[in-house]
Amino acid sequence: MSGALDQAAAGRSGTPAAPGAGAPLLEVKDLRMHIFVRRGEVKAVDGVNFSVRRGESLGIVGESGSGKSMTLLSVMQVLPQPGGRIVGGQILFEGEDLLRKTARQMRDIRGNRIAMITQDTLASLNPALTIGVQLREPLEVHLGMRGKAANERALELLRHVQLSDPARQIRSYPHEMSGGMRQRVVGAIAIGCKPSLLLADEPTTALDVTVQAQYLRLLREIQKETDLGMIFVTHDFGIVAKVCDHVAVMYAGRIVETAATRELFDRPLHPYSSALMDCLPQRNLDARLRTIPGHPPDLAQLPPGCGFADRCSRVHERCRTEAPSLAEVAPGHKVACWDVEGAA
Amino acid sequence: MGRQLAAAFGRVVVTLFVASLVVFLLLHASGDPARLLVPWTATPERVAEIRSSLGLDRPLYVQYGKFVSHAIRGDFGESLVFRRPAMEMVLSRFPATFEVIGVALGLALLFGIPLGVYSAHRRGSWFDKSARAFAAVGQGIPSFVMGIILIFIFALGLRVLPTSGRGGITHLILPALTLAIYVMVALLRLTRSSMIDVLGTEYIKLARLKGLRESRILWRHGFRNGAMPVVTFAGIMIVGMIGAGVVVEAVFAWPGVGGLIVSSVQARDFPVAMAGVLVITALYSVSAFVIDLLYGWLDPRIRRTQ
Repeated sequence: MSGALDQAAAGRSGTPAAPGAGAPLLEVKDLRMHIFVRRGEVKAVDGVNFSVRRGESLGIVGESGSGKSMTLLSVMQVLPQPGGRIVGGQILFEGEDLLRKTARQMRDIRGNRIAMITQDTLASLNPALTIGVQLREPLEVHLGMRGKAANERALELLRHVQLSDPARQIRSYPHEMSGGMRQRVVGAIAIGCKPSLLLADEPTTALDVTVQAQYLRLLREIQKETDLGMIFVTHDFGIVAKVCDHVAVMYAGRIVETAATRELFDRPLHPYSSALMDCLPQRNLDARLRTIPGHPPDLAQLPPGCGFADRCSRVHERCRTEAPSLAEVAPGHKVACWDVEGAA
Repeated sequence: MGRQLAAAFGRVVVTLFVASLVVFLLLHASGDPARLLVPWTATPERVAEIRSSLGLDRPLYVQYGKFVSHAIRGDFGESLVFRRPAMEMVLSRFPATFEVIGVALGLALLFGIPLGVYSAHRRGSWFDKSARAFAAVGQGIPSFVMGIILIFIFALGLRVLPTSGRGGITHLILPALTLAIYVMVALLRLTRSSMIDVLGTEYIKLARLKGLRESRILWRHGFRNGAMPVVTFAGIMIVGMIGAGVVVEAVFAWPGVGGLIVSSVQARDFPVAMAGVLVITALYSVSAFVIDLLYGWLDPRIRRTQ
């Protein structure tokens, strides 16, 4: 990695701590984000707890509509408008509660100390502006870089994400680039200001498999170099296995199980977690593709009990009336289920 | 750019030719100008004499050929009614027309676009609701009624502005405002709907996630992409307001080109009507060319294919 990027990192965070040591980089406590729409109140994020340390990556897994992306957007406080509002909880980042920040203070954090790669990265670049303009923007706004310095830095970032011929690409428009290249540009924009936390919302869904693998490797390298905390939202357990230290399984706006990646793969306790893993295509061609019967509940009309009760094979009477909360059943392994011994 | 200009020029020539032919045929279908030029007591012989002196007894294709060959040399004939060069009469009305249109378009852009952008930004808010109510009222009231309302308020009630005629800047305000309101609310609505689409895109989300200021997100990232329909409409309206202005000219006794063309058609003063239509067609073509250039500037994806 190049010198200037190192200096920028050192200038911000002082001496980098060892991965996983000390206080968490991000700690989310009982976060609730509701979207107020005509038909009611959609509980998109319904009391979520998790934490991430420097140099660590957390995977958030679940079906579409389970609130994964909304959780990340809530951390950034870029909510769906009109109607999206954080109605409760705490977001502690480097010890400070982001929900107590003013709009201005939050703007200074966004894209600077916390960066996010959005879901549809192919559509994330503005078609009317050159790559250079879009890369320099955060540098100008957050680091006060101008003119030649900003341009040098932008070129350096493009080299850093291994884009070929950066001097030419910096003047091109998104439509002149392939999907994989645009993906790298979005990555370069995200790491431009040396964030200490990177949120990635299904960053590889739009890419083909080989490009996916390269991109994941690149993100992993960047993480190691800069001791970055990462949150990876995905529905792909394969990505989780490759990239994440910890996993949180999300369902209907809540985290239903969380554990170290290895532990969760070996011993999924929540019926939803194990059902999700059973859906993974096996290498055995004869095996039928499995699905989870039914649909996730309407987040505007959540049942009083467990959100998964209607689809669950291990459902009890209690599941329909009382929602279980996360309980630690083994060191670092928490699950919210009435059917699990020692939980709830 | 050179090739682009040549192609544009070619298109203008074709457009002018087609437009002149259509208008020529329509005018001739509308009746016989000779009848209107003589007293109703005139003998048929006298009418025939006038008709042949004006060349109106020749076959249509001969008349049209003559018109084209003269027009190419810059001769658009004389007014049948006023005996003055037709093109000169038309052009002499343009300064008054452009004055009103220029001010009206300026007002419409200055207020219509920001109102539309912030309406989309604050969708569902009181600001948005008021802007939309204003747009509905502005589009619902015909411009002759709007003109009269404005005259009642500012000229007769408050007595701060003149009712009609052309003079200093005070004379310009009411006709320009009347014309502007319609275009302004149309721009507001167009900008709003276009911006609502743009503000829902992933690249606007990314602009937010980068920590940019709201104004920069709205204008540099948003409006730049949502400007296409707005530019198209504004460009067309520059010329379209000549037509829409006819009513306003009538209400405010404003000596513009629209009124001249209407009265020349009524009087079957063919040369003046033809000259007027040709000038307006040429202006349309020029503004279409400018719109094309702006498209390329706004959207780099178009630039390459142009």
